Parts: sequence; structure tokens; C-alpha cells
Amino acid sequence: MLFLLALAEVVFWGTEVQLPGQLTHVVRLQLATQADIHAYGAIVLPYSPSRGESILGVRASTVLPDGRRVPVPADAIFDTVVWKRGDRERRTLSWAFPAVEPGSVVEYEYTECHAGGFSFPLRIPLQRELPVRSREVTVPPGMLPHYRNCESCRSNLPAFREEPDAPAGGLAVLELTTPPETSWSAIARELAAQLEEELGSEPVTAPGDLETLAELCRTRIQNVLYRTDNLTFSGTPEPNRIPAETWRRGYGTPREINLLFAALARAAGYEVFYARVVSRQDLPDLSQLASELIAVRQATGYKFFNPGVPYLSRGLLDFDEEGRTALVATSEGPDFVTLPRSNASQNRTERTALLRALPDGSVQGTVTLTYTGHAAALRKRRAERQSPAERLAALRQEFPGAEIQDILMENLALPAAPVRITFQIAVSRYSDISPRRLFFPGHFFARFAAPRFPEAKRTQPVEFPFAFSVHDTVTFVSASGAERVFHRNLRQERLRYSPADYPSLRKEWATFHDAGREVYLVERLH
Amino acid sequence: MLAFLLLTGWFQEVASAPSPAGAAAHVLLREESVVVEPSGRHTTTTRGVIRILTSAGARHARAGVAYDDASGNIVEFRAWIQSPGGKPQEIASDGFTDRSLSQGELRSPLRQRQIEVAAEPGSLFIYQSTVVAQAPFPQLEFEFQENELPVGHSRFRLSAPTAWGIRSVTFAAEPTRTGNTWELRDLPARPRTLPRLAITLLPDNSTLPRLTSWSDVATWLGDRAELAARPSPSVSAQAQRLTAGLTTKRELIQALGAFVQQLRYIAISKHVGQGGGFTPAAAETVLSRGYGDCKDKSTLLRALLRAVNINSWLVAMNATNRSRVRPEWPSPRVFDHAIVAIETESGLIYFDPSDPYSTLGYLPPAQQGSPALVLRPGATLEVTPERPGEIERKITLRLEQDGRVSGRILETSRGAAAAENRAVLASGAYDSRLESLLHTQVTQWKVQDGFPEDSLHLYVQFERESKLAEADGLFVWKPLLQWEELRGPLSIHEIVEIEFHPRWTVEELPEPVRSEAFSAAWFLRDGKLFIDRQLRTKNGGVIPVESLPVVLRVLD
Repeated sequence: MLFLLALAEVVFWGTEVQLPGQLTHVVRLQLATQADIHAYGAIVLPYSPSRGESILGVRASTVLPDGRRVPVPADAIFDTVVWKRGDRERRTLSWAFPAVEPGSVVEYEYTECHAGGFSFPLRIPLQRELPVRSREVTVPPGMLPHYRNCESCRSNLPAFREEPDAPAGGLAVLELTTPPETSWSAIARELAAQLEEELGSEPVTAPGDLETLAELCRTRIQNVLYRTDNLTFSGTPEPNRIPAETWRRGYGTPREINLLFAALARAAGYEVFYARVVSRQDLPDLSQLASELIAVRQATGYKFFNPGVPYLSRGLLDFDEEGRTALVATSEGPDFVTLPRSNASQNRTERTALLRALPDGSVQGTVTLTYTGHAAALRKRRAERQSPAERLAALRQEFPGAEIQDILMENLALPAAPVRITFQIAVSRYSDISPRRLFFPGHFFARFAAPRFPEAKRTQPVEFPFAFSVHDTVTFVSASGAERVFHRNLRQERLRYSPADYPSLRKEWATFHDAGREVYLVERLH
Repeated sequence: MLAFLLLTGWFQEVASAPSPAGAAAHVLLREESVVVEPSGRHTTTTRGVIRILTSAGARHARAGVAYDDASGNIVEFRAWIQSPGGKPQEIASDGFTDRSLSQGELRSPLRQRQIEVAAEPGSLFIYQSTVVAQAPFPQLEFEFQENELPVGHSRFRLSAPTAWGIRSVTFAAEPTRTGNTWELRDLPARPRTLPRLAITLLPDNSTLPRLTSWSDVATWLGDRAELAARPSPSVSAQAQRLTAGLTTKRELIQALGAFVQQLRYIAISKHVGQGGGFTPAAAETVLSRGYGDCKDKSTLLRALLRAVNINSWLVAMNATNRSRVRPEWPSPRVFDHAIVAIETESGLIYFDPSDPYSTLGYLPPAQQGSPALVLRPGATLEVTPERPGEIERKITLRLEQDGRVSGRILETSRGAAAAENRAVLASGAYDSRLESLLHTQVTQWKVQDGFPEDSLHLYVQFERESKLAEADGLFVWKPLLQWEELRGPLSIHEIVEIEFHPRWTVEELPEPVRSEAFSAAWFLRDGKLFIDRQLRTKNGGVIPVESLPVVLRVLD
């Protein structure tokens, strides 16, 4: 049949790592069907000369099912400048395999050169858009290999598909590093000493508990990195050498604001430390450290703060920090701690609609959207990149087919406050109509959104960035004065679902999406 | 300083012109001057001045120049920004971006250099470019207005060898012509159609073609394609293999068409300046490579057909914007696609071997009813036939005592409707699409495809766990399938037969709906409820506004 699904697979993919900066790939692709040939019968290799990348030694050929070999001639391999601006340049090498028929194997090899050598950790992909039957990576002696996201990393790797809500960096890779030259103890002591130096000797004080001090830093100091409406620094910032300078000038980078918080907390009598999110605890190296927080020692353990991010509500860390392992840098050495997570109640979306159900089948009324915690932070981050006109346009796009006016957006720039958006809405042809009745379905908000998980199958896990809840209340008041209220709630505490768990997640979300779709306010027509 | 003096000479004539109210930006000057040499080489100098009026208009401070890096080059491309009250500042060369204009081609020499700058309201954005290129035929086009912005002054100047004739056609415009300069002034914002000038030059030598009629265009394009379509021994052998045992002409065409359809669509553009964009690769080459673009695949099909003594011709058309093809301007420039017209006893059959899913006798919807040029001597512009896709669907349902519903769907699609189903099946997303359409779980589905014969049969069995909609003691039944098939000319006939558990009675039914093209009826017979809906769209699937209320009732 013409439309046979793709069954192609990579029968062999070998990569030889040569220091200081060459990767030689050998790939053999088995193309079983016409669909395979259409999808994978041509190769495009991107590279960037301006980043010191080049591709050498390309050889490619088709091996027909009867064993005959048809090489790709050199003049059929095209080197194209895809994009160029000043010194920056992106190019591709591309070719199509000739004479391919179902059952053919297409082979190619090339060497990827990185002038100036590799930067470590070097991540070598093991997976690609097709299943890989055999994967070989030859590593120079002395390098430390570390496999990520795979159980069987050398054979039978499943195809990797980009899917929405998949965990970031979900591709199976081999991570190569050089042996560590330091230890976590040394790094922790270094960070502790760095904090002492950066806090300076000039004290800064302010009244209040730790949360109040964090709020003070977040709201009183203009953040030069973020463009939050009422916190944007409009001048040319000078670096603040010590927290007292940040305090006096009233502006700072996220890091300077965090340091100011540390200084205030110390002045209030607390022990403060740098805390860094750690990617791999088994590899003591600065490259494994990500976002920087302030840890405060308390009787029950550490409490963590990140006032340098202006959008976070009281008590919240950034969502990509939640649940991660952090290194707390004390002068005695490292403490590895799991950072706390927020719960669904803290990250709440509340949507209410008070609607008049009109005799022509349309509805009109007021909608109020309220967001707290990370749900609010997401809207604030999005709003930061938008002009006021773009914010209104984006909101209108959230309610396709509806007429929206009198839009009021509150607290988009206030760090801890919930975002609140109200507007008037009119939706024509909202109801279903029979000769004698109007049926107003209760799933008002779902009407404007597609189902979250439409795909029946899934290859990657689903990962939500944080726990959250959604609460919808829709009140219809009919022309005859009848009133009906519909509620719809979703509480998403669990963050990760394996592909095996996907059907149950999909069903839960479909139930939420369809809730109220078939429950009506009924009006008799006269 | 010299650059500034050279610049001011031309842009100051428009810099003080007033701008209309309400516009985000105003094109004060849009000018193109072309010098054509006897060899067909031409030098195009473009100048523009844009006044930015609002912050939303800042995105219009940009310009781009397309060129062919194999047979042409950019001699100069400069741009300036003048802030309100300031002097023009030239933008450094590293602010320009050069990118490939390839649209899915493996290799294309077409490129664009562009500049885009941040500009505050009140600024002037000024640009000037000079491009040298070789054209395979002497025809030119100029858009007096490029986008929705109002234009103060738009001008096209032409300098051609004095012995050459010049024919011009304008579209949506009546420009002033002085010698070989065409001008328009004060063009309002958001025109319904962009005003355009099209020019055909008539050389006094035989180096370049004289394209004065569609027949000339067909001859010029046909000549480029003819040699490539000759069947070589290997092409003839392939044709014999593919048609062994087949007897009727239709079977032969189907077999050869299906073979070319399954070859890969891969475009490699070369020698565009010498007409490479209009010259197919030899059929022999396409066969041995196993891939080609639309003209390559069409040419291979022609060679295979010729090997079994069936006549056919290449057909040029525009598959993405049919309105580009205007009878009053015969030109190869307006085409972007090639298909095949095959001679049969019942007349020409148009066939697109680049579309892997259509069967013989059907064109994809975008190509139906479209102007097309059959590349044979004496050709005139013709219109491809319209043939609606067809869907016949029977849905059988059972409504259980507790409100659950189970059922099955039997569907036969033909023509473009079957082709669209094949495309979804090939994407591997058919089951997801079914579940999304049915809002339910599909327990079983099967497809039987008669390709390359027409007709695709679909069988679906499903169960719906959720109960029927409840409203004040009533249960509400809504049509099961949303009709999403409304793409292109289409005929749908759907019958739903619902069997009830005895606890159910029908409280009310919608009134029947009927018009020339649409009908829907609901009725009870033998204790079952029947819903009979029909829709026949024509003219590329466009539904007249006056019919909309009826259509909405049918679809709802």
C-alpha cells in the first residue's frame, strides 16, 4: 500500500571521538518502505563556521537490496550558506541518496571538526528521530563517560520524538568529561569565602522576618535584568561592589539583589550561605552548578530564598529550582539538600464567568481570571516581553471567536500579588438550538481551548514544571431569571508520568476538558 | 561625507512629503530602475524611503533584495536611518543578513539580503540597492505597492535597447507613463489588490525569446522540456516492466502514474539565470536517481507514457496562487508547478505525479478549476477540470439504557477526499484524529485502499463511555462527527441510524433544512431515528454568504 507507515531504523551509528575536537560519524540507515525513502532519503547536516565548526570527509552511498552500491557523487553534495550576518554564518551540507528502493541501506560518514577543541562536558547524542539498533561511541582514554536518559544505551534505542510537555533534555546522550581536578569540599569552601568577600564589611539592616526581608529586596530594589513594569531600571547600571551599595542605589542585578538579602539576613542574626543547584553530584566541577540561591540556616534545616527573581510569590523558588538537589556552601564543606516544591494550591488558576444567556443563543457577561504562585509568574514573564497592545492581543487569542472589551489587567508587575484580569465577553451562537429549546453548555472555558493531550500515543514522559490547580466557576442567568452554576476543578499535584501512565493522565485531562460540555442550562423558546 | 551628499540628492525630494493620518508607517518613495542589455543581462537599482509613524510601525524599517548567487550578484546595498531632527546615519554592513530563499529545495541559488533596524516614530528609513542578473527571457514585473502601507510616490523606470519593443500591462493600477517611466502617487493603505506592472520586452535578435502570446510561452517552455522527455532504453524497459500484462490504456496510465508518484519529491535548482528553473532533468536521470521535483517527475512520466505509445504534455500552472496567472500577460514567470496532461479517447486527463495520494482523474483541490498552460504548439490558457471529492458515510449507533453509546462507521471516500485520508494515514495520526473527532475511544478501525484505483474504505467501531448530555430531565443528542472535510469541492452524504433501548423516547427533533447544495433531515422509522445530511460544495469549496445560515444549521 502506498501509505505504509515509516519503518526505517538506524542499523548502525558509530561515533569516534578524537581530541582535541573531532567527531567522526558512520551511519547506516535501513529504509524499508516508500514512506521511509520519502522521509529519510536525503540528509541535511547543519554547521556553523563562525563557531569554528566544519564538516570534512563526507562519503555517502546507497546499498541496494541486491548488494549493488550507488555512491553519491561529490558534485551532488551541496554546501549552502543558510544564513549570514557579519562574521556569523550558518551553513548546511546536503545531499539525496540516489536509486533508493524499499529494502535499501543508505550509508554515510563525515567528520565534524570543532576548531579550538571541545568544551566539556561534551554531549554526544545517542538517540535520533529513528530507532537505533546499534550505537557505538569510541572514547579516548582518560575521559569519563556518563550516560543520560537511557537504559540500554548501546543497542535498540527507541526513536526520539519531540513531544509537548516532555522533560527538558530528554534525549539519550553520552556525556563526556575530563577527570575532576577539584572536590565538592573545595568548591564549597571557595563559595563560602566568596560570599564573605562579596558581603563586604559595611552592614545593611532592615526590620522584619526573613520573608519580609526577601519581599523588601524583591520590591524595593529595581531589577536591571527584568523588565517588570514598575521595577525596570531605566538608567545605565553601574556594578554594585557590595550589598550596601545595592541598598543605597536602589537597583541591582538578580545576583546583587540576592546578596543584599544575604546581608540583611546576616545583620538580622542568621547564618547565610550560597546554595547552587547541582546537575551531577558525582562530578565535582563548577560546570555542574546552576542557579544561585541564598540558604539560611534554621533550627530545622535550611530555608532557601531567591529574591533576585522578581515574579516569585512569598516562599516560592523558581520552578526550575524546585525539587532539585542543591549544594549549600559552608566553610566546613558542602551540604547537599533537596530544594522544596510548591503545591497545587499555591499555583492556582481561578476563572469565573458571570454570563447572561440571551434568547438568540449568545452569552454576554464578565470574566475574571486570577493567577497565583507560578501560574502568576508565568503570566508575568510573558507580559514582560509584550507591549500593552500585545498583551491585549494575546488575551483575545486565548478566547477565539469571542468579543472582548473593557480589559483590566492588574498586578502584572507586582512581585507577590496575584495577577487579576477582568473583561467583558460576548460569544455569539454559544448555545445549541432545537426547535423549542436553547441549550447553554456549562463548559464555557473549555470551549476556547483544544484538549491538552490530543495524541493517543506517547513516547516520552510528560513532565509538568510545577504542581498547579485550575478552578472554573461559570454562572448563567437566563432571560427568564433562571440561574445555573457550573464548577470544574483540576488539581495536578503529580509532576511526572511515564509513557505507560500517559493513558490515565490523558483520560483525566479529557474528563476535565469535557466536564460541563454536556450539561446545560435549558431555555424554552416561545 | 560624499556618501551623504550622494544620498541626499534623491531622497530629499520626498523627505518632506506629508503622511496620511492613521498609518503605522508611510512609504514616501518606492522606486526601481532597470537597465536591460542586449544579452538579457539587467541591472536593477532600487530606492526606498519609509517614514515610521508609530511604535507599531517600527517593524517596517526594513528592506530586502532577492538575487541569484549563480548568475547574478548584489553590486550595492546600503541603508540609512534618520532619527527625528537628525541626519541620516548609514547602517554598518554587518547589520545586513543574507539568507537562502530555498523553500524545501536541497539546493537553491536564490538568496535574499535584508536589513531591519530599530526605528523610533518620526524616523526615516532609507535604502538603495543595485543588483545585476541574467534573465532567461526579457520580462519584468514591478509592484507599485508592496504591502498594506500607504505609498506617497511609486516609480518604475526602464532602459532597454532602443530597437526593442516594449509591451506593458498593469493590474489594479492606472499609472502615468512618461516614456519608459511609470508612476503612481498617493496610494492608500491596505489595497484589496496590490497594483502591479508587467512588461514584456521584444528583442530584435534571436538571443532571447519573444513572448507575445501564451503559444509563445508554451513553445519556449515546451522546447526546454521536450528533449528531457525522450524515453531512453532504460526508461522504456522500466515502462515495459511496469505495464507487463496490462491491457487497457487506463491501466497503463495508472501503473506508470503510481510508479512516478511514489518517487521522492526533491528539488535541486541550478542555472536559474539560464532558465534552469524551467528545464527538467532528463527522464533517464530522474529514473536512475529515484527523485526529482515537479517538472522532473512529470517529465519522467511523459517519457514512460511515450514508451507505451501514449501522448502527453507538460502543463504549467500556479499551485499556490492561481490569481498570478492572468490571460493578458503571457509569461513563464507566473507558474510555480508542473503536472501532466495525458491524451485519452475521452480527452485530456490532468494528473499531478508530485502528489503521492491523488488517483487518476482527480487533481488536488488547489489545482482544480485553475488556469493552466498545456505545453504544446498553439496552446492557449486553459482551465483544469473541477471534480469534487466524495464521501459516503453510514453511522450505526445503539443508545443503551444508561445513556452509553456504541456504534460503527462505514465510510467510502473518493477523489480528493480519499487523497486527504491517505495523507492522514501516512502521517500515522489517523487514530488520534478519529478519537478527537468522535470524542470517544476507538476500539477497532480498518482501512482498505484501492489505490491506484480510486476509493478508500474505512471501518470504525467505537464505544462511548460518557453518557448522553443531560439537561432538565432531557438527554441531548448532537451529531457525532464534526464535518471537518470542507476543503475544496466536496460532496458528502451521511446517514446516521440510531437504535434506542426501549426506555428512550424522542422528545423533539430539529426541523428539516434544505437548499440547493445542503440538506438535513431527522425522522423516526421502525422505532429508529435517522439523520440524513448532505452537502455539495463547488467552486473551490467557497460557500456563498447568503447560504451561510443554512450551512451552519446543517453542520451544527
